[in-house]
Amino acid sequence: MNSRLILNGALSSAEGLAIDETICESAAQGVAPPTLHLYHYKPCVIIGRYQNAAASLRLDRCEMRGIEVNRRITGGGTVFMTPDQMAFGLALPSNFPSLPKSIQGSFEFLAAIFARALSEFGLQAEFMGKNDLAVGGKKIAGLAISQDMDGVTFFHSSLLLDFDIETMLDILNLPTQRMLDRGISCFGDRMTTIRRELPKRGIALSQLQEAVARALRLSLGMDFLQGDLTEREKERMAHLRRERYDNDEWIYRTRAPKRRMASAERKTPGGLLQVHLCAAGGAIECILVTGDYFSRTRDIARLESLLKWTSLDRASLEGRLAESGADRFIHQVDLPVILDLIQDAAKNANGLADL
Amino acid sequence: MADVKGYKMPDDLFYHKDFSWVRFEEGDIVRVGLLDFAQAEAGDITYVDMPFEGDAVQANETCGKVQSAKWIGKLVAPLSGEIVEVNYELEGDATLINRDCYGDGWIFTMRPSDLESEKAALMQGAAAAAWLEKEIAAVEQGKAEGKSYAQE
Repeated sequence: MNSRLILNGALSSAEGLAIDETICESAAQGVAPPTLHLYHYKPCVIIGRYQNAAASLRLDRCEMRGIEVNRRITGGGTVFMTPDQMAFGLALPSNFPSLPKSIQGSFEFLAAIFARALSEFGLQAEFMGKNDLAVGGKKIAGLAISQDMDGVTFFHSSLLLDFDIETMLDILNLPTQRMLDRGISCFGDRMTTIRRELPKRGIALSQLQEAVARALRLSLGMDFLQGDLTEREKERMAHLRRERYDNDEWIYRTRAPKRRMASAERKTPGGLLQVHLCAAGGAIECILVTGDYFSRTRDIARLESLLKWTSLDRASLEGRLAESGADRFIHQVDLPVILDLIQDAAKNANGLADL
Repeated sequence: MADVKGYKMPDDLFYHKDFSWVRFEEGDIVRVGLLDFAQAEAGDITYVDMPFEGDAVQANETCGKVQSAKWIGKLVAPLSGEIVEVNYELEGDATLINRDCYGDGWIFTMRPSDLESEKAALMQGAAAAAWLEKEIAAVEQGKAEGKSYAQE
């Protein structure tokens, strides 16, 4: 069985996202084969389908820096994209033979393809939390899945060849100024890039794309032949740009859960522990655990990854952390103390005006 | 209350193949929500994109979306009709569905327009349990496949 590979250079956010939705629709309608779209973006920031742009971003900073803002059809949080991240869109029929019929299984399926690609460069990647891919416990790619169109499973991902943390922190709305001050080192500790892992190899984006296409071909057992959108798809793409991706209604006014953010801190036998969180509706959108406690960086990254997109309900949090052995992540800090702090931060957030 | 491989399935409800339940209430109103199995499979639900009150919806067609973490799935109308009320509590905290999917985590109520002909497609009792068992088996197999991918 043959499939299609659409390979693009730097795209605007509207172009990239409109092509992705078009290939997703075509696969749903059965008018196109499974399609892989590999590309990269001109600098832009892309929010998740149900995120509030004004609450999640510092829109004035985005404008000042000439960074486009857009919204994708897949879920999750904010991603800052530049030509140093490989953008990946894959539309597969939901009944595709090797695609697992479970949500978690589908995430692991995608993670395994990326891990296979990274192994070509000697990097060992593993699935972390709910939907991150990590190297040495540090996030290197985020994975998203959409199954809201009949008959198609759509995968979105960005894989970091390099990353500009400073610009990302400048354009994001973060819980506290303190988080911003410490943010560069915190985020630097929790994520990594291919260039950071392999500084002397000078790996180019095209090599990464080739490795991912190869891994996909081997995993799915089919060839991807390079092609383009059909004329009908090009018309559909233009329509989607007008309807969505060049349209402020879609970008700025899609309904989204309320977003709140705050911090809490406590002195513990293991040291000062601080929790900074953004809550969206009843769940954690982003969380950062800082302080002068003793822990391995990879355990803190894992703790944060486990908590991301988890319900703020104490029983849910407890269940999630207990089953992952998180009570051993921070020396002399017990699980109930971590839970108390998360709940304190959530309470502080609830006391603030909605953003 | 039936228990199908650990997932709750109240006896008084009707079930639709796209994982919603239907409760017939007083008058000509039905209440709709997500199955226990569906909420467990999705994980912590971060947002429900619900239809608007007054919307006309078609049976078996997508009328909303459900988001958990970085996954988005469809919310399918089990019957045709008009949306009467949506659960605004979910806008503040959609994880109510995870905590109480057959109670406080209901999603909308509707007034069916073609109940006579559409009700037959809904499942109940032993037939619903047998259907769910098959769905659970497919997902369990999917989870095992995912794990084997992850270990490659």
